[in-house]
Amino acid sequence: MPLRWWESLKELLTRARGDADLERELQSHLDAEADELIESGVDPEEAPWAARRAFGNLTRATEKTRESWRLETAAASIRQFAEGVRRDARDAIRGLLKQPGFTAGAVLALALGIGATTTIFSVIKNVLVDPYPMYTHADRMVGVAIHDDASSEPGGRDFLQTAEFLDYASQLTSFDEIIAGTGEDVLYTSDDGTEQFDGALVSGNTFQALGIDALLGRTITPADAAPDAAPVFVISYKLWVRRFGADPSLVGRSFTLGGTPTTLIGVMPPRVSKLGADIWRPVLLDRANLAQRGQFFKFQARLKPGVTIEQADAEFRTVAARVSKSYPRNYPERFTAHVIGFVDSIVRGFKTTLYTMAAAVGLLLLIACANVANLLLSRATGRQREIALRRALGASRGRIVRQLLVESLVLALLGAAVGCGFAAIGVKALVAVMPDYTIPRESLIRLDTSALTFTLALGGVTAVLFGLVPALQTVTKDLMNPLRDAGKGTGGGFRGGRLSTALVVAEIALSLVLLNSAGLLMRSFIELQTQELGLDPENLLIMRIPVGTGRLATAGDQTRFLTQVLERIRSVPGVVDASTTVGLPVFGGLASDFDVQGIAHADRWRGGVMVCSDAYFRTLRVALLTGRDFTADDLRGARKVAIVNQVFVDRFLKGTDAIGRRLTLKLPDEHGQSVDQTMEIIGVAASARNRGPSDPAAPEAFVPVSAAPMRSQGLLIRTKSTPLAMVQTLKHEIWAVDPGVAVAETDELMTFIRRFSYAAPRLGLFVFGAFATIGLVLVILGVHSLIAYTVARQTREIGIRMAIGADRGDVLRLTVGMGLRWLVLGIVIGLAVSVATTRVLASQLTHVSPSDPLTFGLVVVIISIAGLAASYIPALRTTRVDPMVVLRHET
Amino acid sequence: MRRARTSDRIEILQGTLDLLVLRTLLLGPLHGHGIVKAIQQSSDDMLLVEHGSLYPALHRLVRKRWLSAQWQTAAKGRPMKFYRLTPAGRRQLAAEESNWQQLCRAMSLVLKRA
Repeated sequence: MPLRWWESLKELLTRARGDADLERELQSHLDAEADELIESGVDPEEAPWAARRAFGNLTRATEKTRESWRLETAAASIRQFAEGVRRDARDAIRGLLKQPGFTAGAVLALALGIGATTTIFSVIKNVLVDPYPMYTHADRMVGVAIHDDASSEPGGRDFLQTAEFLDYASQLTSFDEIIAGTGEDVLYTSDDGTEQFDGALVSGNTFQALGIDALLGRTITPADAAPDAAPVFVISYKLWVRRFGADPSLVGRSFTLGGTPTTLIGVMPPRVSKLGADIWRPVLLDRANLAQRGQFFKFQARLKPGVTIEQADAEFRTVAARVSKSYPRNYPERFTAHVIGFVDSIVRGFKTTLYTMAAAVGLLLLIACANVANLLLSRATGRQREIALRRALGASRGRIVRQLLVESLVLALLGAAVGCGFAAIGVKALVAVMPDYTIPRESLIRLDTSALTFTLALGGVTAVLFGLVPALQTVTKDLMNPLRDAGKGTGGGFRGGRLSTALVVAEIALSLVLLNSAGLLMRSFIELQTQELGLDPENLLIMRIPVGTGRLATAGDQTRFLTQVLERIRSVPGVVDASTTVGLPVFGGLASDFDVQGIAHADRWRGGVMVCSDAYFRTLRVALLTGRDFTADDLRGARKVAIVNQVFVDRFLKGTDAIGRRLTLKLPDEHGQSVDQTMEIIGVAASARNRGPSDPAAPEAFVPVSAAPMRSQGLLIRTKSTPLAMVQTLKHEIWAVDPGVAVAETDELMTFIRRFSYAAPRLGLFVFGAFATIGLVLVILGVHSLIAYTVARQTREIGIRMAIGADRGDVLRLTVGMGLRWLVLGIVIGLAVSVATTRVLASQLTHVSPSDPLTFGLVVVIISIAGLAASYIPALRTTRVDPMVVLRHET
Repeated sequence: MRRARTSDRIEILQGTLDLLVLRTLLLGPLHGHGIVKAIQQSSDDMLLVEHGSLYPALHRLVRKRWLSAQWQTAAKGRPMKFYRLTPAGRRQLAAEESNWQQLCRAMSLVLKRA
């Protein structure tokens, strides 16, 4: 018999046909009545009217019949259906509560899969797909990269020197707006003293090109960048709230920035932090401006409507070939010029990391779904008898399918609810460990609804599918067999269902891949941290002081200031040693080309330059191998001297004597322009890392602070213990020399190293480690529950075997053997897949091979132990059962 | 159970008409006009069913799966919609007849007393 509600629905849809049918029927009634009246003698002309009168109100009858359709069919059927569903849902919840193990396992698996996947996809959506929703034209914005072909790092130079920038701007036709920007330290002087803010100089068209308006007031326009325009600036929302208490009257007031009264014209909306700045001032790029000559500006542009990024890229490459000839010092020997997407230009290498994380979470989701599917399959097979019984008692197929559907949906909903919670936690956790400078600063990572919907749908579909499949199997199969089988309780020996086996083997294989990835990342990270830095980084404090303006503009001023400060600091108790630096030790300072008098070389000699004070090597505990350190005379600029590192000697001087040689290198002059200076080499230092903690040291030259004026100087202080505790004291000493000086970033060297170099691998390790752990837990649960169900279904057969003489050991061997078979298959497949896929991680594995046998071996051992333990425990429980109890008990 | 009192009243009347229709069709399928005439005749003209209220009842009984309906050719070659009892309808008839008899017995007891 067809389902009633189905028919009602059909009739609802064919209501028009029903109306015509009813009309026909009523008309046929009237005709029959008329015939009868004619037969009893009524006038044939009168008969139809008489029939009508006998009928009564025809219209009302039609209406009432139609009404009854509507009321009865729609309302009643829907009501009935809803009642049925409500009842099923109640039964489902009760059923789930009665099996807490199964419910907890299934809900947890679903929730973990949903939570992890939503977290990663939210990050990807917010970081890669749409990190700048506040910039209207972000989709058309591009950046550039001039990539040194000899470098293995992705990306390239995106800052162009002023004249170079203007050359490009005048020759490129693919863009309708070109914006320039560079960071600067903004020194704000008020009655409270001098504060340092992160600022940026931006071209007048920047905010208009990006497509953003001010929250209060107005943004910078090209008119503000004109040479005779009044000095103005805009402020970030963050700074406005944090430092100035969101005071709306701030707009229009004048602030002394860098010694110049500047008017605040607007507050930018939240999340805007272009170039990482809190204060933006307009700048006009001008070839004739001497101060700009040595400056570099970030080149970004907006594509003309209709121009593709490929077209712009081709044009850029052509122009770059021309322009590079005018600025040979800015270009490596072999380079490739690219136009890249806005987001790509900032995210660079991290994109690959995010994609590998997405792949990993995909694996985890598959494991979770396989787990849930297996749990549902096991449960359903165990209920075959119950379903067969209900069908024999008269339940329709539709009712049973509906009940199972509702059960699966309830389970899916529970899993989804918990999964949302996990996702929310996951996103918060990820944001907390996200390293700096890897993602666009302005991206806001939060739960993304489309990612959530996708994973919810996926989890829901899995639950429903695997909840229904066995049901559909049973409702179409013969009723009698399951009922008969119950008496015998055999499923054909110790075999699991083929689908279940495939699922659990797949789970094991995928989990192996995840564990391998996590293991490799962990080893790489450990190797990274144990790398020899070449210096002693403990208890080293760095304090950055912006200079280059006012009283600290020239090299001489800076030297005098620093010498005085160092003298005071070195006498502070608790300070072991102090010197100065530019940039950071381990990461390096400036870059330069080198020439040594008397040695010809065809290739370019490139390396690093560190501008420092005396005692630099002593403070860092780097050995001075030959020669001497800088003296007070050297610092006064009496002689032009330099020290080089051992790598320099090995690579350029081929191990010959360095002392006394004349070295020419490039240093900025008072206009910031790069000029040649020739120094005498007076010493050779041991090589310490200067390109980051994992890359080998580059050739490096060290010159005294008197050699060149800098825009930023750093104090390098070694303390006896806890450097951060001494910061206030040290600041006082600095201000005792010059109270108007601002002190910017201050932290331990190790903290900087961790932030810049360890943070990204640590993130990868954290994420992969979490996934691998979850995956392993799921596999253990999966193997455990599958064995438990298989064994439970065959308790009777076990009882028989034990009754006829099998001992516990035999039975254990059978069950553990089953688990072992799955393990071996899963491990073999998993290893094969791992070898193929861990190659993808190669870019993140710095010191270990993607097929590292030690890691793989360890992972195989871990999974084997886990899998065997998971097989052993349920088997153990069952074999404790008294065989007689089992045989007597009708399962 | 949560229905209004007026519809309760209508339901009683509906129930009575339903019972009449089901009983009439026990002997064989009939079309709507035929059912009206049959009820009239078998009640000695005491029960005159309003033709108009018959059709909502017939359609309702079809919804409830107690009757099935089919267009067939009647006398004089006229196509008419014939209704017949379904097995479920037969069961319902038995149940309602027994209910009705109980009700009659109860009523007459009460009335005799009073």
